[in-house]
Amino acid sequence: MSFFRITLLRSAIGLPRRSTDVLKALGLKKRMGTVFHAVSPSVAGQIMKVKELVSVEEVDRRLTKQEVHLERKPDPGYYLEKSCVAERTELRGQ
Amino acid sequence: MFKPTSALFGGLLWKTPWRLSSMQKARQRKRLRAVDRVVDTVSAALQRNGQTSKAVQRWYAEMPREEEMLPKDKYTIFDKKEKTYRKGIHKLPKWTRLSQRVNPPGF
Amino acid sequence: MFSRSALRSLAQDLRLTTPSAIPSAPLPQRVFLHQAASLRNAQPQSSTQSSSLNPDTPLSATPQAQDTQPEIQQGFKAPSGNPTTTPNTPADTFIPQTRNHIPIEKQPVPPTFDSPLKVTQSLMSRLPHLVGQTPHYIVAELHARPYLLTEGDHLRLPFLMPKVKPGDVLRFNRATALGSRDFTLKGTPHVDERLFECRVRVTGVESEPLRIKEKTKRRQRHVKKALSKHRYTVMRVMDVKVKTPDELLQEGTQVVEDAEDSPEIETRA
Repeated sequence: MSFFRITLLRSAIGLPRRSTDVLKALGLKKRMGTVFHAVSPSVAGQIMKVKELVSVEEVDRRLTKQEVHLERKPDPGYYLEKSCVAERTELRGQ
Repeated sequence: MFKPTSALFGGLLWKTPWRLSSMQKARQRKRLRAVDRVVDTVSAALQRNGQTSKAVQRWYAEMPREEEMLPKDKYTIFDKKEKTYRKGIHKLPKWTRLSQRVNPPGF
Repeated sequence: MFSRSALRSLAQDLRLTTPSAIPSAPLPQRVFLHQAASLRNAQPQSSTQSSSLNPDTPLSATPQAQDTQPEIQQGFKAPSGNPTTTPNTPADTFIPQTRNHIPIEKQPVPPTFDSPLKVTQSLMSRLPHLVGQTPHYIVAELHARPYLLTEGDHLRLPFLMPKVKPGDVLRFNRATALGSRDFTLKGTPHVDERLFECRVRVTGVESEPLRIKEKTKRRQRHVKKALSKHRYTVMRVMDVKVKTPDELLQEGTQVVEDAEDSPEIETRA
């Protein structure tokens, strides 16, 4: 069982009503929004209707919203080595 | 000194160039390839699940791929009102979000 | 009137007189270090090419159909004040659902290492030149934004760093480049954090002057005032230190053969 990962890259503003409705049926509401749908002929037909607007990948499972978000989250690049409280107790102990 | 140009003579003047620039053509090729990639992904996924879709089959039967297309078809479109029966594809409304790949045979 | 070549020769003289450990032999241009592959948490996305419907495979649509396997999320704990949790608890595939589920490697906690650092021989041989020439600079990345720092710098972050107090000591552990005046160790894309030490001390919080933006609507006398007064964390760089080969060997670093795709020390021409 695999899934389509569909991302809306271009909006359907000014396109025929059918394209907008297909996007709504797929659950794509705004640009860069991502939805997951099981691979089936009906979903494939829907994608074909809006193939100029979306990018499609095949994935093994549905990712959660947080997982999709975490793909873009960078590393913090720092960590707390010694807090001021620990340092003070160290100094007091000496 | 007054230099008579059409912009100064008339009021509102919007000009659309008669052909695409090389960058516009490059972006057009990129868009064509992106659509090809979407269709390939969909068809491969369906094939792996043992399913078929009429829309995908029809696309493959009717539409040429980007690299199979002639430059003429990539950047121009048939128009019966033109003397050469061709005009730039950018004259087509919403041309960046449409798949316009085939033209009448013989033109 | 100094010509450019004259200036250059002067600079070369200066460079020769600097008390760095440059040998008389000309340095090779680049030196490789074999580490960054382990640092990047390589996403197990295997893109297998599958047979497409079209037999004559076109070249342009190279990613014909990706079979992207979703990343296997390492098990991790929800954020807690326990920094000693190891990132990979076995056989625990936790799927993040809410905004609080952030993996441990994306939180500011001290890292734990499974395998020893691997350094190429050529980097080991070239590292003394970089170490010997002080002061060092570092291009550290905080939330994927680069900051070029040297020792003694005051750094005013463009944001208020959460959960730090004045007096805290932070370690910066993502660097894209480390260097001195003549040498640069470039990461691919990051330098391994075990090769250097960069400490900063939080000195306080600054704030900008209060900004008032007047918001008006048409045909109404009412003026809404939007206030804004942002606060920024200020810190001071305590030290930027590149570890010497001896220190690295003491920490159990393995020396391996040279390989492609590794950071390199570049000499300024």
